[in-house]
Amino acid sequence: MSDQPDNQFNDDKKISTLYRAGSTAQPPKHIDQAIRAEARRSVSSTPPRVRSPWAVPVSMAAVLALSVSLISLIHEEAPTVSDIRSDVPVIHTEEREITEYATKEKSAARQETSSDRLSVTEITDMAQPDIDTEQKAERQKTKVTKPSLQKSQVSAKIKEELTFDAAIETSDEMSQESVRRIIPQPKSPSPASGRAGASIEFSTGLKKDLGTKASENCEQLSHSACLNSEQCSLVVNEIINDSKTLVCRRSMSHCDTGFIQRSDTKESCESRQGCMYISDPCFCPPDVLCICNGGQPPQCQPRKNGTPLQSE
Amino acid sequence: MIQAVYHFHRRYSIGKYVIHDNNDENLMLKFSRDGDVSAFDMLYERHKVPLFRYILKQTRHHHAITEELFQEVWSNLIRAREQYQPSARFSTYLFQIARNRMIDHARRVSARPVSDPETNHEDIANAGNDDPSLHAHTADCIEQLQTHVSRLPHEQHETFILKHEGEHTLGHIAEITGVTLETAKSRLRYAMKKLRELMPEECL
Repeated sequence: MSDQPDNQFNDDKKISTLYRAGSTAQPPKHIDQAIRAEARRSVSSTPPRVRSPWAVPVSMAAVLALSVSLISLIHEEAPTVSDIRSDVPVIHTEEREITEYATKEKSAARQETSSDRLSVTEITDMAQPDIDTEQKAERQKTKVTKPSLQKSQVSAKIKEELTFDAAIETSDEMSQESVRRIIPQPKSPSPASGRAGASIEFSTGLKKDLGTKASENCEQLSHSACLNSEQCSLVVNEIINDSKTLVCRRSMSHCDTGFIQRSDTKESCESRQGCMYISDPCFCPPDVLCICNGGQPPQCQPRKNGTPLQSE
Repeated sequence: MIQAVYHFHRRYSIGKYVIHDNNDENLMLKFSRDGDVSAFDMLYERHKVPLFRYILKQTRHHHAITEELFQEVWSNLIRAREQYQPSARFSTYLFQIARNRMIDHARRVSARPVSDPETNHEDIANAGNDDPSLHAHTADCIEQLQTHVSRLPHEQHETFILKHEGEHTLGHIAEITGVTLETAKSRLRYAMKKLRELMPEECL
């Protein structure tokens, strides 16, 4: 049995050898030449793609350069923080101007003791020379770029700010007043009161536009605000007739209109024709700590015939 | 530096890189990418005889058709050189082209090529002239074998020729003919069995 595969193997080997021995055919020479010639023609007709050794580095460098330039271009065109801030100074400048105007106005008001009121235009004109050239240029730019922010708006801002300042100063003044009440002092107006008066005078000038609004809402004002108002007066409730029960009502005469109860003095009241100053030494404003408390706030009322001055 | 030495070896085929550099696939790549005609010449020298004989046997020794098909196969290879991908052995690729060309040809003529007895005798006579050691007996055996081989069924015939002319392994034969390894093995086994049976004992 084992001989059979060996015989088969030997027979197969002999067949293969015999077959190869009989295979002597070769392609003719002219076919060889034709095929080789065709190969040469095909190569010569299409030039080989020669890859430069620098092709890859050069292409990489080009891509890199393109990327860098693109990124830098994007960075240039994108709004940066400084670009965003370039808009801010427009507002910033306005605010700074407003602050400067306010400072100038306050200082001017403090120097001015007369009742002449400065218009916003005058204030602006006064403030102008103090603004440096750069700010002027910015302001010009602001005027051009933001026409909506004109003098009227600036003046409104000034008014708001000065009203607030005046209230603070008046509060300071009232504190001094209460101290004077606790410790009796001579009647002559102190420099501080003069200063406050000027400030209030200036403030009242600016508060002219706000007067109507204040008069409409007298009853809604707090006692402290009422004392600072020109159009409103804090008075004793006549119905209850209790000195501790005060109401804020609209000023009813030329004497109490424009008279600020918290800060105006007797002289400022009685300088008005036919007006008399009435005050209660124990009246204490709501935001001031006093020893005694009660009585009505200072009043500037029309003098009635035969009415004696209470303060006297 | 190492790269330069390697390039030198590649270019001039020196040292251990000769074997690797001059394999069929690299030669074909050199020809297709670099237009290296000498690489094509080397390939042609290696494969022209097996391919010619394979076609010749498949056409049953019809020389005119064999020459025509043989030239067509190489022309196809030259034209499609840019598309060559060394994913398979070059010889497999080449014999696949040849096989496809023969199938196309068979479809064209709508008949299987018939063997040419005159050509057969010529081949055998040539074989005898090439090798003087072959005796008349051997020449007779060769003639008988050629006749038996040509009478094999087509699939067995093809497998036998690919095995003995192209020196292909059974795996490559299966790849060229598009069948499984087992089928190729089976075809060859049947072919050999039939030839053993047909061949006279004095020839074996």
